[in-house]
Amino acid sequence: MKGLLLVGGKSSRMGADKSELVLRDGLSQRERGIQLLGCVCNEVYVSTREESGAENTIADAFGSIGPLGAIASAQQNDPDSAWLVLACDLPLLEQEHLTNLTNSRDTKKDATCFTSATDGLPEPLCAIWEPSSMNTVRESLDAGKRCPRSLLLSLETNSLSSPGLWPLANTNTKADLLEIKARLNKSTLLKTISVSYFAQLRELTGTSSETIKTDSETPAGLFEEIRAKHSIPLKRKGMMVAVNGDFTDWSHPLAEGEDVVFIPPVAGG
Amino acid sequence: MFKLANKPIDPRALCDAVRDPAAGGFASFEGWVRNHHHGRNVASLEYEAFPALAEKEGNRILEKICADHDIVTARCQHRTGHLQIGEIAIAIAVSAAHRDAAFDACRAIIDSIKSTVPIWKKEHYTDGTSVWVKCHACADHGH
Repeated sequence: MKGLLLVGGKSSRMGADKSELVLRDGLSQRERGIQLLGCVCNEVYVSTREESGAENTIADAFGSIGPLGAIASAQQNDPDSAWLVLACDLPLLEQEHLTNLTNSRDTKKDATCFTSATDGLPEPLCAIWEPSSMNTVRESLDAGKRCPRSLLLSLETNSLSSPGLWPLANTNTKADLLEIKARLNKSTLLKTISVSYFAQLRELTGTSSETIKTDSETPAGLFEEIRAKHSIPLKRKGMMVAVNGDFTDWSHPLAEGEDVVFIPPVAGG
Repeated sequence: MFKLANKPIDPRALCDAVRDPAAGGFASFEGWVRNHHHGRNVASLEYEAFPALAEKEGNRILEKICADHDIVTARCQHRTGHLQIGEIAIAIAVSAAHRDAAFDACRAIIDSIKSTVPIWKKEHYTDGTSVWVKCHACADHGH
């Protein structure tokens, strides 16, 4: 089995290259990803958006179309190998999670993957993609369907139970980074937050308000907890959040006793 | 002044509220409940607001747009609750010394309200189904 580290994201929400962030052990996320994969794979390759000529890199052969294009490029590079695909921005992922994944590998399935704690769907970017998935990957790309998660849903997968909310949490935004750093520093504090729900969220949660004990540092972390708790199919992107009755940033530092309202895209008028 | 209303809006009262001896132009906008949306037959609409923030944000919008345009007075009411076809969902009244400012401000107010005021709309269709508008479209391509 070969390892493929995905570093080619645009990091548009972070405003900086995620793969160069140094969060643990003095290693950049890129270096740490290579190290993690190296423990369970014979060879490790880094996926890049453009041809770099560097050793052990695989450039996107289908244009800059995201992770599924990167997976297809690796499969084209070696169609006979299984690929353990890993996003570089999972700072709370431990070696034991990858060991668990590889030990649980089922070569008769198209993929072995974890289940997401937030939505119960397969996690495509910390998963083993078997050679048998290759044709479906290519067909999907040819049809303009670039979502690796949707694709996994259409494959025969060996889905492992979720390792929890945080091991597969990525650093897409500044708020994500605050949550992850607090967990790395073990500086999280338990606090009581009251959350009110309106409209679609009220219906999905089945309540208009609840009190939650949380160690999340920001509304972003709290929303991920609530998504997992109530199986909410909405994502933070496009939503707003209010704390104590007014809009605030997703990276607002939550304090004991604050009132939080999550605001899906509005539709007045 | 922006207000939520859980009873039918009286547009005449809103117009009277912006009358002023210094105003030479009046513009208004009303949003009505329509019986179709994206090809589906709509039976009724349900509006729900996060009341405290909806009024705070609505008032901020009115203040900002009145400051940006040469406006005498502006008022807006937005309905909540279950509305039938033809009912007024939102009414805006703007008075200004001259017509350009009144028209422009009226348009700017409805556009801003639709983008940031925390009010949500559920469409009930004639086939008995219902959907929260926009939220569903944004629910990540149907995972």
